[in-house]
Amino acid sequence: MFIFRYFFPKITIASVLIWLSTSDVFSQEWNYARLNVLYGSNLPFNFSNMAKIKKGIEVQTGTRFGVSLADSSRVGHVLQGFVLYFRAFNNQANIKGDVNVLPLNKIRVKAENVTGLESGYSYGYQDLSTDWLPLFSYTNTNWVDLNWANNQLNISYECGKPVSEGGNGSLLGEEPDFYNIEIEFELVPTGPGF
Amino acid sequence: MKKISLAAVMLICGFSAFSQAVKDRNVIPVAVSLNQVLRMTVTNGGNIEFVFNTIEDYKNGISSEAVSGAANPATSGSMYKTDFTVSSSTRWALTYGTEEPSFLGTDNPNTAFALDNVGFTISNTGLNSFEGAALAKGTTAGASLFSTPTKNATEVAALQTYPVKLIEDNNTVNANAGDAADNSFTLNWRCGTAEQGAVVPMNAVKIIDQNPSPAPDRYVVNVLFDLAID
Repeated sequence: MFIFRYFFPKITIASVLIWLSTSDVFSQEWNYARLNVLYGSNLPFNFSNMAKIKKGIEVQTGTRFGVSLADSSRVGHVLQGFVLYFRAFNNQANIKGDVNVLPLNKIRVKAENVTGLESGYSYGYQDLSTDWLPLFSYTNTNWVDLNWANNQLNISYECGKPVSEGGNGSLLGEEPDFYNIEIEFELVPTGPGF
Repeated sequence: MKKISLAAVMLICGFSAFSQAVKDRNVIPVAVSLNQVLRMTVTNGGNIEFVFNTIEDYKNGISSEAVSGAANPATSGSMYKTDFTVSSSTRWALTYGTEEPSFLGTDNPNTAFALDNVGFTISNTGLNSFEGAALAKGTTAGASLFSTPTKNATEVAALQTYPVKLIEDNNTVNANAGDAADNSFTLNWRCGTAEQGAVVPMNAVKIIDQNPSPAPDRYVVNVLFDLAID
């Protein structure tokens, strides 16, 4: 009897906490932001001749993202849009080769509407860096939930474009190597309360 | 009471968990493969032959450059030019020189003709530029080429035995890497003109005045060019 009286309140509190956390998991279904890679989950730049090394490479249809974003209808949170950010994964400071490195800004990234996000704003080509930088923003005060099938973004990449063409310099003079970098994209909902 | 307070706090924490903005992330791996491009192409003048058959040739020499007042204008001309280009994705250096320490006679291999009777200048016909004539390597930011023997393509250099670094990178932010349009050069050959460059001067004595006089023969030597990463 003593044991029951001693543990009952604790069991009650634990039960409440378990219920809260469980309901939180369920609520994800109705309060979500999803960035689906439809294609282009891996992007190679192959500089195999002088023209490419001198002029750089642009991949206009590199990655296709489907954007799914739904309002949770929670009081105090009004979903009105999103911003797509990007940066070097884990704040990697440069593009690493087996032996050599390249500056991050040799790669530039752009996001543009493909379908369903016509009123959004593209920031154009942005230099890859260790900081989160915006690529695309979308706002709709009369919010309608977005889904990956009808709301898509195209990600373009360029690497080694000369300064005269708006880039950060060609790869002329850079050491031959196999360089790798992971680019991290983040979909961040916006609106009052977010 | 304590337990009620604790439960209330937990409840608030629970609600705050609901209010967190949900974000999503994706990671795209990007790979950059840089392949080495390194090529030298002789586009004109792969075989140079000076034929001395007048006294005027022996007195003044033969040159590819009409502006060279030392040479016999009657026999000088553009046939003594070598045009070449360099395409390189990295900073490069061109080493050159003769296979033998002197020209060797064809009819009589025991006869020799001194290398310094032959010289050349470099004309830069590409977009990359040389460092200033009297300046040390890396002085001018926009200049990407450096040539010690020709004092940065401003004066005559006598022919030397391999290996001699003829053109190299200037160690500035602008690499000498580039395609054929960036790195295009002409070697303006001359023989017997006795032109005196400051770094590698030609033989100061005209062929007609040399003692002993070179034996008549056809003297030949191969000049090697080796392009490598600098």
